[in-house]
Amino acid sequence: MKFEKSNAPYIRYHESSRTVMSDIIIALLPLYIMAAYYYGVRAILLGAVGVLSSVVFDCICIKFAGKKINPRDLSAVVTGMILPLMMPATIPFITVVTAAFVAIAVAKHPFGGVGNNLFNPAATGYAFAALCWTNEMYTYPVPMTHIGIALTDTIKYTQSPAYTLSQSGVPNYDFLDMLLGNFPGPMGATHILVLMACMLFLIYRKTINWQTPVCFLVTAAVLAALFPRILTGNMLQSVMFELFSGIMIFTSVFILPEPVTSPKRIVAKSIYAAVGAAIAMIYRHFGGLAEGIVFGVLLLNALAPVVDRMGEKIIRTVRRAERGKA
Amino acid sequence: MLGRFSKGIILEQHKEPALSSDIVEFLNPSVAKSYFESEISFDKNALSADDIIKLAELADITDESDGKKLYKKLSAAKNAKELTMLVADAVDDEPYISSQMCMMFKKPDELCEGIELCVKALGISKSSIAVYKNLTDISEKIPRHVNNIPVKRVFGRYPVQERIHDFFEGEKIFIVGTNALVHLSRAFREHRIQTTAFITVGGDCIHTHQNMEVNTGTAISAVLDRCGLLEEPESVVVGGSLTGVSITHPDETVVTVFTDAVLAFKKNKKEKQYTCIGCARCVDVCPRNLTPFYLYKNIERGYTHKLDFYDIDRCIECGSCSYICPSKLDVAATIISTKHKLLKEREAGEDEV
Amino acid sequence: MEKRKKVITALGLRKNLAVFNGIFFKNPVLVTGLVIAPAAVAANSLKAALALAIVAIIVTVPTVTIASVLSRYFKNIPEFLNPVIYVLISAFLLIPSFFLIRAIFNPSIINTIGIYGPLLAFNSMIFSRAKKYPLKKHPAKAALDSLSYSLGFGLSMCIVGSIREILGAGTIWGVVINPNVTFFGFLMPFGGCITVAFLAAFARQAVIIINRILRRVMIMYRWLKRKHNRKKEAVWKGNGAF
Repeated sequence: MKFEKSNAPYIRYHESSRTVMSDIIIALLPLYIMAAYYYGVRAILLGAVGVLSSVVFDCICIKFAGKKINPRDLSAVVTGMILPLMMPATIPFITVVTAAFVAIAVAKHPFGGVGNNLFNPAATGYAFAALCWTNEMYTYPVPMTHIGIALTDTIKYTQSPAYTLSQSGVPNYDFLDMLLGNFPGPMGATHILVLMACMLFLIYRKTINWQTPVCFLVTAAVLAALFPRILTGNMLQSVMFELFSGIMIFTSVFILPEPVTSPKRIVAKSIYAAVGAAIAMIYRHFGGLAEGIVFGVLLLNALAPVVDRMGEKIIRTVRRAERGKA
Repeated sequence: MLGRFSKGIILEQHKEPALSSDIVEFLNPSVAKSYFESEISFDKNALSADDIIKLAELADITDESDGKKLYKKLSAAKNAKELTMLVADAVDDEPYISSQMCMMFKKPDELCEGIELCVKALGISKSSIAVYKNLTDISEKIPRHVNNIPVKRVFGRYPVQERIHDFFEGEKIFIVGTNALVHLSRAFREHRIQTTAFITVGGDCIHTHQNMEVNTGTAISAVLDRCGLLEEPESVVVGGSLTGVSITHPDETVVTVFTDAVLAFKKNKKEKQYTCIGCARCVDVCPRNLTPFYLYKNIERGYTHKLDFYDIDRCIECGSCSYICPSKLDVAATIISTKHKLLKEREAGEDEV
Repeated sequence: MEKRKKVITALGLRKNLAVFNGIFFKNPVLVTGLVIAPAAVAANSLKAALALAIVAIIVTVPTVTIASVLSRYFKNIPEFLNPVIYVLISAFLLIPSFFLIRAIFNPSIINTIGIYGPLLAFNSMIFSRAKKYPLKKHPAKAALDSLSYSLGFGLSMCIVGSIREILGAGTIWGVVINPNVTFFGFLMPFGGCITVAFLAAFARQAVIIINRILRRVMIMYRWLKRKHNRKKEAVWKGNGAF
């Protein structure tokens, strides 16, 4: 009998890359269901268009690069599902397709494909779409209006609480409304209760570590309490509106802990998330658009290798102090 | 940092039913037992320390935990004269292997006699047996004393072998493997040369898992036939399941004194290799606080000059990074082979200079 | 592997025709990347692109020619004064070029091209060509070389400008052709950078492919020539009846 040579170790953990990606897909599905409940069938159609275009562009780019297509690699599906959830439900289909194109063919494959991208693909696609279609991206339909496939003229548009805050006004939604998602905002980012449940699910399955969202939200809450934009003097109200409106919590769960672009050590990840929260609040106070956190994320992605290298230097001294022998 | 908060991986041990069943002898009748001629007496009280070291030399006993000859270790330690405790190494922290632990259950008298002899040879008074604690699926209870020798439970995540020194604070310990101690007691009692090794046969494809005593020089295929294969295995491994070596020709490979186990695994056909997604689970798990992610990336891109910054020579080759990788990459194998290559180049460079 | 390296590093035409490399094979914007900034930022529309190209031609060609003349007939100028002389000459030449584009297009073109018009006074084409192309050659060859580089600059600027204008505003040269689907991001610098990046990738791949074709053509040509020569020799050495 002759056997082939294989490499140690010979037993492996049962989790695989496919299960990691499918966990994220499972966590995104309830958000689509809630979006369909609030905004009609168009939400699910937008998701399908996003996924389809992402997968098609991914296959084309892989063929261009001369590699083999791996049908179990679900990273394009995840990108395609995340993108429409950050946009309002009345967005035209061409926006989603363009955002998917920029995410896959500009931010992911020129840098080397899966595992090598420097910038978060979903964040890049959203940023491009936000700069090209500013009006459509930041006017949201009133919730509980069921939108069909074609946009009719009877849909009422309003601004999100983030816009109201940036004009120094006070939005008038109460706590329960905000938790359940009964206020205008991006399609998948308003249902706070469901988002928290998805975050807990992902943390339990160890797909993302708990330090990143917690540090991000705690820092953002502290900054919102210390520097409120609402001048009524109630700190908790300020914290609630700042955190719940726009895509703050969505970013902290799905965009920021993306494995490829975040630093690798846990301490570095916490610092990364805290700095991200600070930049997000700065963009909210002084930025031009109502929601500028995505540009902060892109800035941080460029700085992640630097943070990693500094963390490595610190860990080297810790290693040498812990054990005397080499 | 002691075991409970240490880094590493939690493994399912699969040590049953090999641990509960008796040690099977699989001996070649022509070379089964060989003896040496000597004047040393069979009376324990009349032995001196040098006599015991002479016994170890004549019987050609090898310590399986680090591969050195027992008499050389004993004479070096006797001359050092600062040891306080002898520890018998029965830590089997890799799955399927129990060839060191089974001595405690199946041959306790010989083990204790070996410990007494060693203690007399080194001139120290305290002794202990170290056993891994995190075993949840064995049917026999690990006793607290084996013939009046205390048993110390070593706990923590895999790999534990390096951390034995942390559990014996304040003592300078001398570690010997239990198989060598059993062979030493046989050398004293019957003047027998060490010609056998205790191995565990296990894995997915083996029919009866058991610990066996096998003559050195037996072919691996004979051992596999003796235990029976359930199906055609994908790989046959000699050594540990996480740190062993896979062999290609079991007819031509033989059992040696360094063999701990013979394992046969079947591969899961659906698992393919993905690309690295940078999840950094390997960084979380490395017991030496290294970054296997950056080491792997730099090796793949060919930047070998950057590997010193990431401390590649601190790797203990435990294999935890490959175990936990969700993309099923061969992280540990790549790092280990590059480490050995760099070491060879560095030595060759120093020789030239 | 070595043969492939030769094709990729020796981008372009050889020997006598090397003067015309700047148009396609060593295009300053898309292939060698000498002057990317105006293309990525200021070339929002075809008009602006053409204006910048005219400015570049007027500024670069006389500067490089004068540089070649100076090095040939005045050999004692120290090396560190070269960039100062070039910049003085090209900044002086900016004035007539701006008057020209103000006359051709409307006067608001100066605001459209912004700072990138005056920035062309010290573009890398001047310094690169004045240094790399041997200064001892005839000034006419230097003039032709810099002219081809500027024409290459102009050509690629027009391509980038028209693509950005069509995709970004749906017009070309101010004429509306597609008002429905526009991507506003292409009029902004980051969209310009993305456009230049993709076009540069395609251009470099095209250069490699055309080089391979030209190499095969050269080999065929030489083989045919040798065959013809051998035929001639065979005829001469042959019967002796000639």
